Amino acid sequence: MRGADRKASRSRSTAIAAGLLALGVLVGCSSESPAPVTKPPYTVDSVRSGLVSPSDLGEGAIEIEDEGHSSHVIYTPPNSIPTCPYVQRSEDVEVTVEPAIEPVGGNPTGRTIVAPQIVGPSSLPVVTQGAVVFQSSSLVDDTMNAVVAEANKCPATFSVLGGPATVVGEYKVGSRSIEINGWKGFAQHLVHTSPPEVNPETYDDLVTVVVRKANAIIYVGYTQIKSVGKRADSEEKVKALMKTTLARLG
Amino acid sequence: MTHRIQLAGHRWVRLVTRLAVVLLLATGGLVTNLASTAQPAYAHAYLVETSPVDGEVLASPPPAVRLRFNEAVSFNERSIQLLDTNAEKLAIGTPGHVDGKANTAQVSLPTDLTEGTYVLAWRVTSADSHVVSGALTFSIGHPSATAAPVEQDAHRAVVVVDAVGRALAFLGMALALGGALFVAVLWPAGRSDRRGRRIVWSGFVVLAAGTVVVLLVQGPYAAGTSLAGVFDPDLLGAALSTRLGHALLTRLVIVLALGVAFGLAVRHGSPPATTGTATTATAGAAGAARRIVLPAVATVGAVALPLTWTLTDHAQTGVQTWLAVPATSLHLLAMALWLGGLITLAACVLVPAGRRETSRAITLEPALPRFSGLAQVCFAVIAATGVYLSWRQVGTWAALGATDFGRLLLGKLAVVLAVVGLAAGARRFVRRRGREPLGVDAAPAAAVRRLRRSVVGEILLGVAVVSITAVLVNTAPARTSYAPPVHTTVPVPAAAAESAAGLQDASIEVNIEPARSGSNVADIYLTGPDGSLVAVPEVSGQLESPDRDVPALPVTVTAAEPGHYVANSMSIPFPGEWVLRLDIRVSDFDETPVRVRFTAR
Repeated sequence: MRGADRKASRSRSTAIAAGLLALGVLVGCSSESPAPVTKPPYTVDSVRSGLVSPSDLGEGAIEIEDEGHSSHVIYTPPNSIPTCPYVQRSEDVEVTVEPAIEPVGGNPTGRTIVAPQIVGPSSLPVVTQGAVVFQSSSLVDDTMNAVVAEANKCPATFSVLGGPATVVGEYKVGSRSIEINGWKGFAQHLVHTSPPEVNPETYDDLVTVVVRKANAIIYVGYTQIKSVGKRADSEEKVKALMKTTLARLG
Repeated sequence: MTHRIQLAGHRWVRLVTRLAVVLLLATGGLVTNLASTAQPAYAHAYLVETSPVDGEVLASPPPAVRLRFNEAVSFNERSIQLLDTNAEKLAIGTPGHVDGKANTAQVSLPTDLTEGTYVLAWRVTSADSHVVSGALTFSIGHPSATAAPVEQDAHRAVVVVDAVGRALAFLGMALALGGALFVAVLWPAGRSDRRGRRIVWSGFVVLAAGTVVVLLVQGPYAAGTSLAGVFDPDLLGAALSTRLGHALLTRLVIVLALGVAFGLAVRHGSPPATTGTATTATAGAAGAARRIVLPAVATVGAVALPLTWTLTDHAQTGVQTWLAVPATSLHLLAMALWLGGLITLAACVLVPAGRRETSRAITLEPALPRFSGLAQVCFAVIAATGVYLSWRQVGTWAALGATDFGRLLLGKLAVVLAVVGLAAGARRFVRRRGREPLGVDAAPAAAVRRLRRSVVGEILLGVAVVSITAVLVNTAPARTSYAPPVHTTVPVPAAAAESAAGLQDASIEVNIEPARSGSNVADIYLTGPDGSLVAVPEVSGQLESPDRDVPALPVTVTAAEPGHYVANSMSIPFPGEWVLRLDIRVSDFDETPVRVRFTAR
């Protein structure tokens, strides 16, 4: 009887061990992600939950509606999707490139800015963002294709010689494809260095992410001021930020 | 009367023998054909060379586009498409091989192409039956913006139906082979058991149905069309002409042969009582046929059947194909014998035995102990071949968690471990009860019910393993899909360091992602001894292949932030060893080359 009990106990132990091992392997395969608060198809209201909020950015950040401020700086309409910021101020671009595409047939959320009260090299970044939702897949396809095509025309380098001191200087542009939580698009990296006599210490590190999923297109511009000699890291930071914010959209 | 019976017996023997020979020749011939045309390959096919090259700007329209792959590919009329700047499909010639070479494709282009950029999208089937696709652009006169979306992924519904078909085929093979072995060999009462025969017949039907589904879906899968393409006779004809099509047809022939053999075996499961010399001779001839021909047909069929998978799937590509094909076949066969036998055991023996108080008497002896012994052998084979095949398809530990194939394999392993846990309990039951004087039939009804629940659990988990495997065989192996990014640092040459301030003891950090054939991004950082970035006037690049006769490929490098340079669209034509040559201009007059060697997968 004792022998039988020992065997039964050993059998149970083996089964439990195998089960725990199997569970461990399965747990090792799984990944944790926050629960979404909405799902496709998106509306103007629901897609806002995927935008960056002041609490996402950090303590000290505030949110303001863009009522001309941002559009005045980058000279694009508040309801447009950026494709090549600042290029319209350049004098040495040979091809015609639109700095932004105004979507046809979409419902925009408008543009919001999440930023610290005072911007500087050691402050929080500035996020300029918005979204557009569409009623039909063909409209969203057409808009995204137009945005990608226009962004692809953005020159690798251009310069702005005149205008406000904050925009004068050299611009270097690069673009990479990106996919976050099923949202696909591109991340356009733009580095703005001022003329040495104006500002030899810092440069602007701007990444504009434009992604599409289902019936929505979201764009997020993430800008930091970095010291010359330091690596640009806006792309890594905006990816990490959007991984959190886009997870809310399901 | 006696003479007539003798003749009938001889005729039956001759008929069975001829049928066996014909089927052996037919299936053997087809299988041999599959084996003989097998070319060693590395994984899914990849593009080695194109004419015109990707991104080339031509003065006039090229008469044709030519593609060269690393291994034989198959395609149909819709495999190559030309799109203009508005993403409109243009009429082109019928695709064909260049000079009959199986690893090439060419298509003639219209002569009236206007100026602008064009996208040529291709979609071909590689040796392991997987579809690979890509696109190249070329421009006439000058480049123009193009919004041509290149549809490269197969339709979701097609992929799902294909996976379902493969899973059905796996399950059907298990029921047919494992069930037939159990009914005809392991269980003495099996040949006369209607439920057991039904299970085996349903296995043959499911196997045939799954095979037909895969065959029908292969056309739309290869062409990238929707599920409606299964009714397209051109696509079906194209699918039948491929290596996978031949394998699937061979499988159907083998299923037919095995079905006939099983039918004959169970039909004569209870030979009628006869008297007299002639009848005895007839029965003897028939018995000889049953003892020799039917087992021979069944054995050859059971061995050949897994080959219709392994000669057209991942086993056929990659490293050590000479070992991988038999190992995968053994893996598949062992899985089929175990799972099919287990299902039949549960349905025909364990379930009735668990209710034996209220139904007819069913004994667990000798079927259960015999199957338990077979299952042990099958598990040993599955474990040994599984470990080898996992190593072969994954290669590195890191690839396990970083690829879809690796994650699926881990999931499969988890389920298999649970199966092993349940099977160990059942094996212990058989061994413990087998040592008792009355054998396993003396086990109390409660113990048999526990065993039955355990076996049902094994079956459910076994079906889950089959389902995962059906997806796994359609996923690119981790060994080829895993491409760890390249992160390497080399010192700035002394000559350059002396020419420019800030470059003393500086280094060059190169990051290449994803470091595989196709489009890549290379980040180049010039870092000073204190870790800060150091800007230079210009960095340019070229891609060199040290072990192949390929001219250096230009790499466009642009500046990002000061000290950071980026090659955003560095195209690596094929996997292998590569050298990224960076020409670093440190002043108006001084430029120094730096070579960074890396491996692209």
